Amino acid sequence: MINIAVFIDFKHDNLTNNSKLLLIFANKLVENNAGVQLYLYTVQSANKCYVSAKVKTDSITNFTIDNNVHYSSNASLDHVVSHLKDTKITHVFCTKSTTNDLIFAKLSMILNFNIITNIKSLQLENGLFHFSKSIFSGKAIAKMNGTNEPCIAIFPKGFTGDDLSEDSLDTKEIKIVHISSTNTSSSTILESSLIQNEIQLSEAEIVVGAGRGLKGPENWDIIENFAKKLKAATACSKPISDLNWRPHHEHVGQTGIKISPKLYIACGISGAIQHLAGVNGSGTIVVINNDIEAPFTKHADYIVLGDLFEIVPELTKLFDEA
Amino acid sequence: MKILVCISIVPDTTSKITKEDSNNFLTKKDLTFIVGPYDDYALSRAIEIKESNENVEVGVFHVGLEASEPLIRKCLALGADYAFRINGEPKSSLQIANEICHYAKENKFDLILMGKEAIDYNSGMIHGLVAAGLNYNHFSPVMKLDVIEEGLELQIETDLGKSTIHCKLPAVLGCQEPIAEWKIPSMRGIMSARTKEIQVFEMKTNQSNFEISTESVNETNRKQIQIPKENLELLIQALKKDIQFN
Repeated sequence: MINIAVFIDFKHDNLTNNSKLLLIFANKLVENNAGVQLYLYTVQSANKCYVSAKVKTDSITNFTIDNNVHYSSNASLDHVVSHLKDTKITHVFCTKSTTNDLIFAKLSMILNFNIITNIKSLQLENGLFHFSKSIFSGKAIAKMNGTNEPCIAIFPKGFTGDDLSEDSLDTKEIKIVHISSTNTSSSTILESSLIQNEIQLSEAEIVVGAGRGLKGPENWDIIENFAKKLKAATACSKPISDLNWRPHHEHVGQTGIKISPKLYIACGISGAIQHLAGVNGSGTIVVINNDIEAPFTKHADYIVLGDLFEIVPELTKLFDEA
Repeated sequence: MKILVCISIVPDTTSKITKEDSNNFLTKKDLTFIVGPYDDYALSRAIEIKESNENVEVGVFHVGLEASEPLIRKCLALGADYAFRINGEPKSSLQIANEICHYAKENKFDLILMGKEAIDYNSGMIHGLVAAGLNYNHFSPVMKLDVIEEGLELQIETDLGKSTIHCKLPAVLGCQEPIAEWKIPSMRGIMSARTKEIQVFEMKTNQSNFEISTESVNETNRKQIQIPKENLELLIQALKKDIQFN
C-alpha cells in the first residue's frame, strides 16, 4: 500500500502554481496505479481550499500553531508526525521553498524517511518509485532506480512538463480539518522586512538578469523598466552582488539562487560556468551581449549581438507595442 | 563556546563534469577539489568569532576519504583548533546527518555551522536533519551571525524577505554569503596546522539503501539562433511561439 501525503502551499488563499502542478502530478499517480491513496495537507493557515474536481480526496488537514499562525521551522512537529504515522503515510511530496526545506528536513529525521530534493522526474511502476534528480547544480543528473523505501520528495519549480491548462476550471471546495499545536520555539523574531512589490526570483516565470556589461549600478533602471514590462523578476551575476551594485538575494549562480523560469534574458553577462549552473534549468534563454566570444552565446537559444544600452530599451518599447 | 563546522569537499566551481568511461558514474579524475564554498563562509565566520571572543574553540568535521585531508588541514591553517574525519563514502544526506549527530551527541557543541548546501549533490538538507536529530534550534540560510548575550542574533532569508532573529543556543545554522569573507591561510597558520591532529573514526551508520544508481552529464542543447539587432521583432515573434505563459 502506498499512501502519499501531498503538502500544498497557498498564496493569498489560492493554491500556488507549483502546488497546483504537484497536485495534478500526484493525482495522475493515483489514477494510474492501483493501491495508491492521496492525502492532502498544508502547514499554512487556510480558510478555504479549492482544488481541481478531478483530485481524489474531499478534505485537507491543516496544521497550524496557536490556531492561526503559519508553520515556522522551529515549531514542534509532534502532532504532524503522529498524524502521518496514524495515517500510515509512506511518501511525502511537497514543493520547494525556504520554509518547506526547513520543515521537511526535520520531518525526514523524525520519521526516519530519506529525503530527495531537486527532482527532475518520478515514475511509479509496480509499486516501485524511479527518481531522477539534478546534481552538481544542474550540470549532471542522478537516477535512483526502483525503490519502495519511504521517502520525502521535494519538487522544484518546473519539475514536470505539465501545464496548468490541465487544472481545469472545474474546481471543488474541500473540507479543511484543523489541527493546532502550541508554539514551543525559544527563538524570537526581532524584525522582518518583506520584499515589497517585487516578483520573487525563485517563483518568476520570466527573469531578466544583468552583469558587468551594465557598467554601473546607476544604469539598472533600463533593466528594471524592461523587467517591469515583462512582469519579470530581476537577477544579477556574482560580480555584481560582490560589488554591491545589487543585493545578494538577486545573485543567480552556483553559489547563489538557482532559477528555472520559462524565459531567462541575460543582458551583459558573459556566462561564466558558475552563472550557467544557476540558470541551466530555464526554458528559453536569450543572451544580449556585444561579444560573440562570450561563453553564454553557446548556451543560449537566441543571441542578440550588440550594445545592450540600445537593444534593451528598444525591446522594452517593442514589448510595449506587442 | 564550542563551535563545530561541518565541511563538504567538492569539485571546484569551474569544473567541467564528465562521465566515467567504465561505469555509470561521473568521474572524479582530473578535478580540483575545494572546501564547499558555502561551508567556507561558515568556517570563516566561526574563525572571526573565535578571534574576537575569548573561550571559543572551533572544530572541523568531515565525512569522507583520506584524500580530503590536505583540505581539512587548510581549515586548521585558517585557525580551526582541531579536526575530525569520519572515514567512508557517504551515500545519502540522512547518512551524513546521522554521522554528525552521533559525533555531536558525544562531544556537545553549542553551535554547529555548515554551508546552506553542498555544491555537488545540492540537497541543502543536512543542517535541518542534524538540528532535528539533536533537537537544536535551526535556521537557514543565515546571512549575518553575531554572538550576543544569551545566544545569537541572526539575519536570515525567508520566502518573503529577510528576518532578524534572536536565537538561543544550542543551534545548527546553514550559512551563505555575505556572512563573512573567505579567508586565506597565513604562513604562521600553515606552520601551526602541521602539528594539529586530524582524528579519524570509522562510519557508525549503516549504508543506506536509498542510493544513486547511475549518473550522467546533463546536456541541454540550446538553439543558438542569432537575431540581428536591427530586427528585434523576430525575437519577439520567436518567443511568443516558444513560450506559453500561465
